[in-house]
Amino acid sequence: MTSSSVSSLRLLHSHKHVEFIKNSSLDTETIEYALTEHLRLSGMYWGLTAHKLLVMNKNNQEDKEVKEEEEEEIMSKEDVMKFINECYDEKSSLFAGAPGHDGHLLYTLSAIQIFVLYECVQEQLSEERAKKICTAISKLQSKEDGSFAGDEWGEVDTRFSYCAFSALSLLAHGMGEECFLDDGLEALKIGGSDDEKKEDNQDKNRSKALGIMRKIVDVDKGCEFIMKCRNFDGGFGSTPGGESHAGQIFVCVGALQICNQLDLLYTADDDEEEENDKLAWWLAERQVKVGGLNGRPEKLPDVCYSWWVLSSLAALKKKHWIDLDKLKAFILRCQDDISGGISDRPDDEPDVYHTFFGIAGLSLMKHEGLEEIDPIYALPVRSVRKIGIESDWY
Amino acid sequence: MHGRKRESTASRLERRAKSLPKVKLLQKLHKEIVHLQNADDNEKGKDGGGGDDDDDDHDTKTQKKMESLMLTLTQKLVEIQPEMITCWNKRKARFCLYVVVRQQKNEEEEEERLKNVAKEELHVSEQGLRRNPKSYCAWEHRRWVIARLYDRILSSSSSSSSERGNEDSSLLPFMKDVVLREREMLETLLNADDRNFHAWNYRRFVVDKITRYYFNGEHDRMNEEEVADDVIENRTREEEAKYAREKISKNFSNYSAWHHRSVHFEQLDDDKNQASVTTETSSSSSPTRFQAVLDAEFELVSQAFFTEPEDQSAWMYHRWLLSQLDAYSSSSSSSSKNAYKIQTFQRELDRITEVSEMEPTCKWPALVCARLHKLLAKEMKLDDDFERRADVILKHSIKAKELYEKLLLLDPLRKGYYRDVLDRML
Repeated sequence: MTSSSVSSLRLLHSHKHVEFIKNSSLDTETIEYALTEHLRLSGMYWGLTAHKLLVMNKNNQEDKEVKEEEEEEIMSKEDVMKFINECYDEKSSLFAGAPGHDGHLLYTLSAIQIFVLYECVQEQLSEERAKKICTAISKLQSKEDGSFAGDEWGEVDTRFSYCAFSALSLLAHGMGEECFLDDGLEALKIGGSDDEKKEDNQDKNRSKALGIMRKIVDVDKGCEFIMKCRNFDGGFGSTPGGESHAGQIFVCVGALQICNQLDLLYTADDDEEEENDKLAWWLAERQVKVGGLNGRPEKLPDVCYSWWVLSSLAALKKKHWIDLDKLKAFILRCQDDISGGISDRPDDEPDVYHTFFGIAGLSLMKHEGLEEIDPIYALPVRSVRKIGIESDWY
Repeated sequence: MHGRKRESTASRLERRAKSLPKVKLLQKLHKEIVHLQNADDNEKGKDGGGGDDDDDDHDTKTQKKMESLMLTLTQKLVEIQPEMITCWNKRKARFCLYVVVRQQKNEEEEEERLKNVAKEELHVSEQGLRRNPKSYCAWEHRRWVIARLYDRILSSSSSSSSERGNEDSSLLPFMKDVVLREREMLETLLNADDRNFHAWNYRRFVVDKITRYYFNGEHDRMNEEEVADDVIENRTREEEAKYAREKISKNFSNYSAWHHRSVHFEQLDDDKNQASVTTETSSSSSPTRFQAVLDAEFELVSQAFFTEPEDQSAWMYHRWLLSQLDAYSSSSSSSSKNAYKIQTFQRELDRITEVSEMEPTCKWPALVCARLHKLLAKEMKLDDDFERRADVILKHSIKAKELYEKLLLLDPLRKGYYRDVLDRML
C-alpha cells in the first residue's frame, strides 16, 4: 500500500515538538499567546500532556536527544502547581482559565488532569478543597433534566457533562475513599451496590468511584440527558437537537463510559446490527481520502479529529474500522519539520492544541516511542493507572 | 492555528513584530479587567458600614463610573477575542441588576432602561460574532440575554396580571422586534456559512422558546398558552421542516439542514391518527398519512443522491429513513405495515440499483444496496411463509455478500468495517 510507504518517509520529530511546546510557553509576547489568555490552564494541560507522551517512554526514536530533554522540563513542577493554584477561584470553588478569571468546569478538569499527570492530586488538593469542588460541580447539575452548566451563568452543553463526570471520577480515584467517607459510609455502600457484583479489581475500583460520584451528582439523570442529545445519525450534539459533531461525540461517549453506561448506545437485540453499528460507522465515515479525519460530514480533515474520532472509536472498540496507516501518515505530514509542532492540515501554522491532539492520536495508534494515552480520560495510561484506573477500552 | 498557512521563520518574526502593539493592548486589557474585579470586590466590602446621604450619592457615582469602565474595557476585549468568558460574565452580572422586577413606582422607566441594556448586550454580542461567527461565548451571551428577558416577561405577567394585564408592558412588542431582528441576523449568518452549527442551534432556540409566544402573531398568547401549545408546536415543526427543505434544495450537501429536518420530522402514529378511518381492510393500496409522509421523504432524498451521488449527506439521511420504517412497523405489528416496509425496501433497492449502474465506482449506492439486500433477507426470514421464499432469501444474502466484497475494493479506507459485516454474515 502506498500509505505505508508515505508514513515511512516521515518520522515523528519528537525532539522538535518538545522544543516547540517549550517555546510556545516561553514566548509570552506573541499574538497567539495573548489571544489564548482565557484558556491558559487548558493550554498548559495540552502542552504538558503532549510532553509527557513524548518523553515518558524511554524507547524513543530520537532516543538520546529526548532523554536529555526529559531532565529539562517544559516548566518546573513548582511553577506549574503555583500557576494552577493561582487559577483557583474561591468564589465559585472552581478553577479558572487564568488567574483572576472566573472559575469554570472546563478549567477545573484541566487542573485536575494536570494533578493526575504529576501524580500529586492529594498533595495539591486538600480534602476541604476537593469537597468544595465536588459541591460546586453538584450545584451545576440541573435537577430537572440532569444536564450540567459550565458555571453559575448556566450555559448547558454535553461538554460540561463530560467535564463534570471526568473531574469527579479522577477526584474519586485520586483523593482516595477516606476523603468522601465522613458524610456517611452507608450512602457509599448503597450507591455502589449494584456495581459491586463484578469481581475483578478494575471493576471494584470503578464501582467504588462510581459510588462516590453517585453521592455527589445524579449519574443516571446525567446520562439520560446525554442520550437526549443523540441524533438521527447516532451521533451527539451539544444540546438536544444540536447537530452531531465528533468532538461532541467524544465527550458523550466518554461520559457514558465513565458512568459505566455505554450500553445505552445499543439496543437489547443483538440482531439489530445496523442500529448498533450506526455511531461507530458514522465515525468511520469521518476519514477522508487523504487519510485525515473530519468532524462532520463533507468538511475538511483536521488533525484534532484524529483525537476526537479515534478515541471514540477506541472506546467503542472499532479503531480497526478506519485505515490507521493513512491516518498516521496524515498526522506526520502536518508536522512542521523545521521548527516543530503540528498543524490542523499539512502546510498550515502549527500550534500547541494541534500538536497535542496529533501526538495523542498517534499514541492511540501505538506509534513507536510514544507513551500510550487513555482514550477516555485523555491522560497517559500510566498516569491513570497510578490512581487505580485500569481500563479495558483499548 | 486553524487554517493559517505555514510561514517561514523570517515572516513569523516579522508578523510577531507587527502584532506587538496589539499584544501589548491585550495584555493591558487583561490586567485592567482582572484588576477591575478586585476593585469591585473591595467596594462591596467597604459598603457594609452604611452612611449618610452624601456617601450614598458618592457611592452611586463611583458605581456608575466603575460600571461604564467595565463596559468599555470588556467590549474592547471581546471585540478582539470573543471567547474571553470572564468579560461576558461581568456584563451578565450587570445586566441582572436591570432585569429584576422591582414592582415599584417607575416600572415604565425601568422597562425602558432594561430595553436599552438588552440592546447594548445584543450589540456587543453581535460585534463578537463579527469577529468570530463560531464563538461559543458570544452566542451563549445572546441566548442568555433573550432567555432573561423572556423570564422577566413571564414573571411580570404572572405577578401583575390581576391588577393590570400584561398588555401594558412594552416588553412584549420589544421582544417581537428583537426576535424579528434575530431571525434576520441568523439568515445573514447562515447564508454566509450554511453549516455553522452555532447558528443552527441558536435558530432552534429562538424558534422553540420564543417564537411560539411572540412571533407567531398575537402578543397576548400568554393567557391561552395551554390551549394553543399543540397547534403552535405543529405549526413550528412544519415551518422548520420547510425551512430545512429550502436550505437543502439550495445545497444538497448541507448536512446541517438534513439534520434540522430530522429534528422536525413528524413522528405520526398511524394507530392513533387513523384508527377509526383505516382498518386492516384498507390494506397497503391506500397509504396511511405516515406512509405518505415517508414516501415523500424518500422522494426528496433520492433527488439529492441522484444529483450528487458522492455526497454523503443524503445517504446518511436515507439510512435513517430506512430505520424509521423499522420503528414504524414494530410499533404495532400489522401485516399491512410489514407489507409496506418490504415494498419500500424493494422500491428503494430498485431505485438505488439504478444509481449504482450510473455510478459504478461510487461506493454509496453499492453500500446502500448491500444493506437493503441484507434487510430484505432478514425481513423475509421473519415472514410466515419463509420456506416458500427460501430461494429469494438466499438470493438476497448472496447479493449482499457480493456487494460487501466489492466495497472492500471500492472503499479500502473502511475495509475493517466491511470485513466485520462479512464475518457476521457467515
